[in-house]
Amino acid sequence: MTRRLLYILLLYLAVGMQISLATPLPGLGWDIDIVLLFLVIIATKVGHGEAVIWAVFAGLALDVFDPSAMGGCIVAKSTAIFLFGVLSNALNLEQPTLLAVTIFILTLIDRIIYRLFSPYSTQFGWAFLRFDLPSAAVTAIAGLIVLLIAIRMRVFTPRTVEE
Amino acid sequence: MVTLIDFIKRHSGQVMWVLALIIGVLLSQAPFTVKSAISGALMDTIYRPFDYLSGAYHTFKNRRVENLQLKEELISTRLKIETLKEIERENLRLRRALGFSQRLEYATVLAEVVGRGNPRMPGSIVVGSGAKQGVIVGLPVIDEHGVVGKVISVSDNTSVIQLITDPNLKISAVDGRSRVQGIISAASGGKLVLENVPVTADIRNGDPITASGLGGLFPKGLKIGLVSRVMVPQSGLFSKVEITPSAKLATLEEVFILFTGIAGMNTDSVAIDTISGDGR
Repeated sequence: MTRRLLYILLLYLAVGMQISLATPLPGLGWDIDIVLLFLVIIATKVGHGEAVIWAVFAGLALDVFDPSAMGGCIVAKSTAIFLFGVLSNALNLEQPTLLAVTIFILTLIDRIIYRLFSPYSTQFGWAFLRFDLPSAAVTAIAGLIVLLIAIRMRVFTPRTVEE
Repeated sequence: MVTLIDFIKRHSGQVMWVLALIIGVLLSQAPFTVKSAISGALMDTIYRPFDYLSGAYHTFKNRRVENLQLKEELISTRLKIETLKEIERENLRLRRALGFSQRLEYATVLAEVVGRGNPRMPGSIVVGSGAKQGVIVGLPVIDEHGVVGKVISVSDNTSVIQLITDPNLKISAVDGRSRVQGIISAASGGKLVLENVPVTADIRNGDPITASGLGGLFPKGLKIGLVSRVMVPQSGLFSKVEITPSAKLATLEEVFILFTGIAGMNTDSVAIDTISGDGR
């Protein structure tokens, strides 16, 4: 129970940071998906079934800011985390580099799904190359840094290291 | 029923994902008013702290800008106050000078000091009054405390004043108390020395020294300074008397040029007051 309260608080902070600190970089329009990073970390801790529920809450919290595309973030985040579960069952995803590549792919999937729900008409290919791809790369790099720090601080221990 | 629960437990990830898809799709297909209502309700509750923080941050940012503007205004106002204080001090000084000039028996020109410390003439200052104000070479110059020097060069709007601390200027002087006479000349350290004073003369520290008027240039009675030290030699006929000038030579800002009536006199004929080493 205490753990879940802590996660609620952390999710709240992650969404708060996403909407305040992680605004798109000026001139570039790229942003780090802090909420997705948080959900990936949660998924490694609580299992994928529960992580999908957290993804629904996180998606709803983000959907609030764009009522016209409401539901998009729920589907995007929960799908990304569900896929993370599928992939992590198949691969040893706790290796930081592999996990960063996975985060890159998940961010891309998340963004593509959200664009499908968004009512704004943009050129899909151009937006994908101009914003989604760089944002996914930035998020993956940020995720790698966070993982390396977490490993150094012994907050996150990859299975290979444990063995 | 048990089978369904087991299925959900075994495939929780898939079940949750399907539920999430259903919720997401349902929400996306909901009327805009419903979406707006949900959005508004959540915004008003869970995001209020962030809204508050964001507001506080912007307020802080605005206050910072405002603070900087106020600091700039403060500096500007302080400068204005300092300027006004300086004007006030100048006003007071000029009022005192005006009162002083009215007490003098001679016609005067109040001249502002516009330059000093000419390397070629360290014992001189330049004032902003010249021939156009009637100034001519040889006129004595004083401030409200005592003798400053004499005019040695005049142009249309400026004049050069030879200070009493210039070694080339010598003034005939008298002890105001004992009436012992001597010749004032410059000494080191901004001091003056009264020379040709017999060792037996009655001179004490603190005695006022005034112009004797014998030279004809400086009117009799003009204060020159105060005796600060009497040096009696072991052998010899004359003692040296150190004088501290009364005029505030280091901080002169305005001086009075006295029209004593001797202007235009042939300076060569003036006895002591015009003795100068460079022939001026």
